[in-house]
Amino acid sequence: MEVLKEGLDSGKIKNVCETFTDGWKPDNAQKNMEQCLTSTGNKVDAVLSENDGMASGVVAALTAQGMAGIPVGGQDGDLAAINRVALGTQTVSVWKNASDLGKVAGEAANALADGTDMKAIAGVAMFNGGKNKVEMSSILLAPTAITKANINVAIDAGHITKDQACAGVAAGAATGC
Amino acid sequence: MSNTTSTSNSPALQSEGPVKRFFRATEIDARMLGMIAALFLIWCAFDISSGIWRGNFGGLLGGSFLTPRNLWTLLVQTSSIAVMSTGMVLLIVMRQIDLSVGSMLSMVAVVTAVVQVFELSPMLGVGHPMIWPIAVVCSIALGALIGAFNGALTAYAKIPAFIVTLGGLICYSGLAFLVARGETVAPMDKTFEVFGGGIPISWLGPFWSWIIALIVCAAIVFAIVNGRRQRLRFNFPLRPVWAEAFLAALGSAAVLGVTLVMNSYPWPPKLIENFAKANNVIIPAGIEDKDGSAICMAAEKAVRCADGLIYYTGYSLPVLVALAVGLLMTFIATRTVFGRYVYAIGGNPEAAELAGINTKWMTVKVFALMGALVGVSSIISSARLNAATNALGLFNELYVIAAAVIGGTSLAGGVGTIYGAMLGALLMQSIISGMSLLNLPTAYQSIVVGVVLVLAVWLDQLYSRRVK
Repeated sequence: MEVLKEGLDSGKIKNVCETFTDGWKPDNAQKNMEQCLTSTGNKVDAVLSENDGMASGVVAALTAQGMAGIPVGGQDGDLAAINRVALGTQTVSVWKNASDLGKVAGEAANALADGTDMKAIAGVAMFNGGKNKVEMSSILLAPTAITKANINVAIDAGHITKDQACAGVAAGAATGC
Repeated sequence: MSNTTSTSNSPALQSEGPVKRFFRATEIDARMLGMIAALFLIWCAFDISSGIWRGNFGGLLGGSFLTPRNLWTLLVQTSSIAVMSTGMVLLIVMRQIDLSVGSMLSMVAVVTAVVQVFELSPMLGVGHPMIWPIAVVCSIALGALIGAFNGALTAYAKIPAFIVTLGGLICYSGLAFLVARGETVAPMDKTFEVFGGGIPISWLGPFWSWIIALIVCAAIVFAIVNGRRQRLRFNFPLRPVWAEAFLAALGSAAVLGVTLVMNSYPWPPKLIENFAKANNVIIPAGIEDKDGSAICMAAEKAVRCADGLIYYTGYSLPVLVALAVGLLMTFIATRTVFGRYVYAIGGNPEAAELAGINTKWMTVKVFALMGALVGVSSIISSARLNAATNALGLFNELYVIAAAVIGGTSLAGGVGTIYGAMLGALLMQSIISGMSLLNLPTAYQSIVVGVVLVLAVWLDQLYSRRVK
């Protein structure tokens, strides 16, 4: 939303529907998306979904209107979502590699247990970008944006098998397939 | 016994006003009429308000709610809950309850999806014609099995159904998670997706929709004529001929009206475009029409035009399945020994048992029926989403029970109708869809649905007290 703010303020981007989905449930997201499309006469150019599960509902609603393929963003790197990215029905899934997260967290815990000062651990920086601007020591990892151009990253990391990621995808239609 | 040919001959009824006489003659349930009136009122309110806040999309009152598109979508969105609510009516009538239907749906959907995606598709090949029948049988059988298990624990182990199914609610959602380790299993096979109503082959088209509508109209007339003959045969009081004719006309008009609405929802322009491309159909250049009587394509742009390429959807498969289930369940509830037993047990369990009804076995059977219906709903929901997750259907039991109760099912047992519950489901989904159309936050939807549930039961009680 921070990135979109400028466009929204200047009127370049119009937010036609915005809703919380009850229980983050895919089937509720599908119903919400269907109603959004009905209430706008299909005048929707892109969808941002807070996670990949709800994105599956969004894509199902778009497919029923023949609109699958418009930009849809999700997060979590769900296996089904990576397959949708390869198929082209979802544009991007923001993937936070859990193995990397675990590794860094484990190392930090070890270092803390050894008595290392919090601020002295490798990679620690101060972070105050939260809502209340509280200053804290943190290690920030860069999330991976999985798109058609880097499906291979998730496959190489062992997050998903090639068969799963590329099910139903024409050879060469996505990098890694 | 005197041969009464018409109810209006009875002296006691002469003093009634015309309205009361009308209801008695046609035997129309005033409560159902009230619910239908409420439904139309809600629809009109949403159409007007959506017109004010979200713009006019050709609704009857200038909004986007009373459009063929929205009503068509509304029926698809209702179908899953409506199917389950028909089973819940019988359970509640029998003084039982099933809180586990939502979790059961998740579990059945995930298991079927795993069987389909990880076992059948690699073994038979994607799109094999045997995939959907196996998946359907698997869903319904698994649902019935779990339901029977719930029923057996309730009937033979004498654990209250509330506890058995509360445990089931928690337990089955855990199992659903375990089966696929919390992952989303997708996509479903193309042959299975038909049940979701999201792709063109699951739409019947106007021709077959009209054929089905005509068959149903003929069936209504037949049922009324046959009913009259049966009443004559057993010397039951008859409805006056004008009332019979009125009922036949009303029923047929309702069926034809719904069919007309379904048949006036055109395929989304993009799908027509894709279809035309795939089948080498030439799209006529669009001539824009001020009235916007049809949608057609001009090059890349979808325009409204007088005589373009246009297909209409007609009934979609999930809606047909729900309607068929409704008819079948109504038949079971009102015309079979099984159904009479259910109401007898609900009216007075001890008397029913003393009369020789095997109430325990009946409990197992009704729970199993509920489970089988959950299987049907799981097919509709997972096919519609084109995916199955352990979140699918979670907490649906709240809506299923609410639909039955809004539809006039009494938690005291013995009272409840199938059509009432299905109307209840439609009413609830109308509120949710309408508020979603206005882009109101989900929290408000929950608040309104909760209030409507309580209000419906209160009004129902006021009405019953007045009638008594």
